[in-house]
Amino acid sequence: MSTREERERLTLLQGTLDLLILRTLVFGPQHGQGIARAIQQTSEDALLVEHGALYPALQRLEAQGWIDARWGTSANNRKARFYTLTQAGRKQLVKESTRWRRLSTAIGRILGPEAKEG
Amino acid sequence: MFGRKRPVSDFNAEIEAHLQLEIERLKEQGLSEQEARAAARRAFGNVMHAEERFYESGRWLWWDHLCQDVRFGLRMLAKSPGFAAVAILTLALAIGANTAIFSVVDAVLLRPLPFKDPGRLVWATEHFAFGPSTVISADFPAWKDRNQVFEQIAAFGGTSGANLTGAGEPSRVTITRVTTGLFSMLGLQPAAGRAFLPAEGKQGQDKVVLLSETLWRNRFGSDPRTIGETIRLDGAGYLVAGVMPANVRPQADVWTPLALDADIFSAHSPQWMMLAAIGRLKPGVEISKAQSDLQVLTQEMDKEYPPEAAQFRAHETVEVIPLHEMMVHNVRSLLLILLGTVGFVLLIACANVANLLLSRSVVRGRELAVRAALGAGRLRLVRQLLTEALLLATIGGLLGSITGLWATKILRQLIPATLPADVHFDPRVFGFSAAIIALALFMFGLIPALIASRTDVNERLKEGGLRLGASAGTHRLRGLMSVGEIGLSLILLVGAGLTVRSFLRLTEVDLGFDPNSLLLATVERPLTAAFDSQQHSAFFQSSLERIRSLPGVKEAALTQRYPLGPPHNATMMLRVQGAENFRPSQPISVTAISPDYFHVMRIRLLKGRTFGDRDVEGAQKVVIVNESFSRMVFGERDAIGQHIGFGEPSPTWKEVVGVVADAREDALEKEPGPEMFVPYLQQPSFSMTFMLRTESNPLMLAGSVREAVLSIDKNQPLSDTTTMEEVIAKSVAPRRFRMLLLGLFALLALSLAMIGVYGVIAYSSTQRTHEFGVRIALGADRQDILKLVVRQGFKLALLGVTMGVAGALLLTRFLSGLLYEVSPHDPLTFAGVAALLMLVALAASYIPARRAMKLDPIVALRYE
Repeated sequence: MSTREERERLTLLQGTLDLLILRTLVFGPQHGQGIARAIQQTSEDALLVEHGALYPALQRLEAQGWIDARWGTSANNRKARFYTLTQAGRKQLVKESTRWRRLSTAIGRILGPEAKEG
Repeated sequence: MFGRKRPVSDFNAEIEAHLQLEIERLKEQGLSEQEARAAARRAFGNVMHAEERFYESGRWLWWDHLCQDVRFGLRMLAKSPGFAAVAILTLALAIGANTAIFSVVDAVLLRPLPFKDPGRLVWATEHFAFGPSTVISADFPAWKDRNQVFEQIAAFGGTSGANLTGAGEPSRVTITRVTTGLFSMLGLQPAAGRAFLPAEGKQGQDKVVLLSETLWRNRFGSDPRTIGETIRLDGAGYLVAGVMPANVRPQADVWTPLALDADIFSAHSPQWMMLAAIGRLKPGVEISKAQSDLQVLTQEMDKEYPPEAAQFRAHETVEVIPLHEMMVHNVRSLLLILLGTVGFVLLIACANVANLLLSRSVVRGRELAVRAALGAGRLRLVRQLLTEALLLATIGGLLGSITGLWATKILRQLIPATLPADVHFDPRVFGFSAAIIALALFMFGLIPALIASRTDVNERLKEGGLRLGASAGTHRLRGLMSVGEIGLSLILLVGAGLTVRSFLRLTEVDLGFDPNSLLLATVERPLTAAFDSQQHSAFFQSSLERIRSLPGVKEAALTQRYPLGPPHNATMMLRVQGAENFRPSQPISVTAISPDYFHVMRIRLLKGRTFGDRDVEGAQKVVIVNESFSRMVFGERDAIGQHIGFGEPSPTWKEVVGVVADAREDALEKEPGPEMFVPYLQQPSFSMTFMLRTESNPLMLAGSVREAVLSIDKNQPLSDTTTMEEVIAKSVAPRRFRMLLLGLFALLALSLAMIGVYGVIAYSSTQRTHEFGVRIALGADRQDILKLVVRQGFKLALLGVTMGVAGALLLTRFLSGLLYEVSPHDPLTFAGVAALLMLVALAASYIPARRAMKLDPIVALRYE
């Protein structure tokens, strides 16, 4: 196995959280707290992402140009920084969808019903 | 957009906004402002704060993680209680057994004796060509006065009995006579009063006695006024000088001084005493020097003895060994065997727990993969797994300390009473065993952790399902470990099997007499200076008459000594009329009996007659010999009518009137030796045992026997009442105990190995579920699948059994001292144990095999 391949895999792995964010943003702009909640709720609390860990990922995605951010007002009239999926981001999501599905299937199965334990 | 650096304040504002949103959401759920704030901060996590804290104090983060790991580990263990229970139980048993055995070994073999400066204490004894090794009392003064090697040397006699009379009911006490310097040489101080004075080692001044603390408490209520009082032993008055504590050796109820100017210390005395000698070497003196010094002194003594003693004193040798070595001599090999046994059990336990951990890490491969995917570092994963392993070790260790305490108590029985070893549960030893286990767990916890953290997470995620983390290397390691487990448990089982077979052989031994419904009551008459043999004979005769007429007694007889009882008189001095040059090759026991002894014991008369009413004092002296004696002395000739003499240099001839069958006299293990029986009226003895053949439970008659004896002599206690069955049980008790102990460990090992094999096979057949599905789908017979799985178990078992047999062949010879009429390489035991292990291993693989056989191919194929 070449180092190059290995690095690619690692990027993909690190990107797990990134892709979860991108997928959440498909449904429309959302602020950080909302993204954290959404991930937590849709994974039925199985993935307890530390909210603080979200921000380095958001910054990374913003730097890649896959998401855009601007300050706005939340539903309950709070000032918050909203993130939107960019065209590049949407393309990235489509491009990665095969791997995405495979991954989410795997994760789904992993997080699925407890198989018998030794 | 590129390179546009976001101001820190902007980032902070975003975080602040996040927290506000979260707080509001939580407040909507009904939390108070403060609770919501705290919860929001907690949910945000300590990524940033933790980073700050990490720099401030690395230790706290480490502690945080540890607490998390422990909590998580406990949760994981609770989730699979079966695994946790097996692992913890294994550890508890292994740690407990090890702690107990090490405690005993430490107390008996390693720790110095509880005497003053024990390193210089030695045991000195003489060996004669025939008879027991002892120090003849007449040699002791020369040793004491003329040696150049000892700072001090002391001696003591064998323990005998005496009748303690005076206050209350007469009772029988054990008495040991010691030279006055013995206790002070050992550094043993009296608990009350004083020890013996040097002046008390002289005739006329030797009527003093030291009481044991136990006797003082039970008989005198620990009354300090007892000291200075006079008590009566066998009728003679002794002044109580002091009380000795419970740990004193040699053990006895009372001690009296040996007067070194008494007759028995002269070479011309008609009788001598058998002594044991302990000396304290001068600093720097070698043991070999002490030995040669005493050897010279003993040989110089030879010329002091009368000519009759020359034969008995020919070729005597002196042996000097460290006191400690002498005292542990009997238990050393047994303890080392047990030590090896528990060592094996410990190894098996380690292998088993490692196996369990490995299989779990494989099952948990997917969980670990997710954790890695979500960003857990390798170190964190390793630490998590190690924490779980150490949790197991901690819980197992706690339980192990309990089993250890319990087992130590049981093992205490292993130690002979003569050994002053204080065995207690030793926390250091416990720590040692626990540390070994923890180390093993650490290592085996680490391997799966490393495998799990090294393997390609992506690969595992892509594979999905249960096949995550499958590694040929891990599996081979587990296979090897179960092979090792089978091998080790085979060795232990062979050892246990050999002792069991020895025990069975022993219970099948033909005793030569009927042990059922026999009551034994021993009476020892006081040994006074005026030993009136007529008076003693009269006492025994009238007691026997009275006992015979007791209701419930079918028959009764008297004997000086009963089979498997305490040691007895034996003589090397045997003369045969017409064969003056005959010399016996071994000591011959002499027992005084009443005429119907053989009938009561059901010992068969082979030739001639038993004793009768005419065989009394003054009539022709008669003797009955056993078969072994007849064969050894007379060979093919007829023993009846021959004349023999024994026990004295110029013998009175006795006529052999009967030959009886051999009976086991000394021990069940020991082939019967030559024996002679004489009528007690012709050769009276001060100590006799009543043998009662009873109609029902023999012990129910003990009370009436006591009363019958008291009605003849109100000062005469019974020394001992027991049944023949008890005597036999007691004589095989140590062997039985060893057998049970070894058996227990072997069974423990067997069950552990079984779990090990089951684990490996069950896991690997789960791994192959998909393959089995394909095979079944392609038309494989279900029997084929069964065979496939069982064959795998068979291979492991075969390899393990082969290794075990090789190991056992090398090791069982260390057991030969514990075996009876069974070769250490007994083919039956080896074959039986090997077959048993094969069966067990096959059974262990049959369960997962059946599961595999019943697979639904559709389910199996979807399994991927």
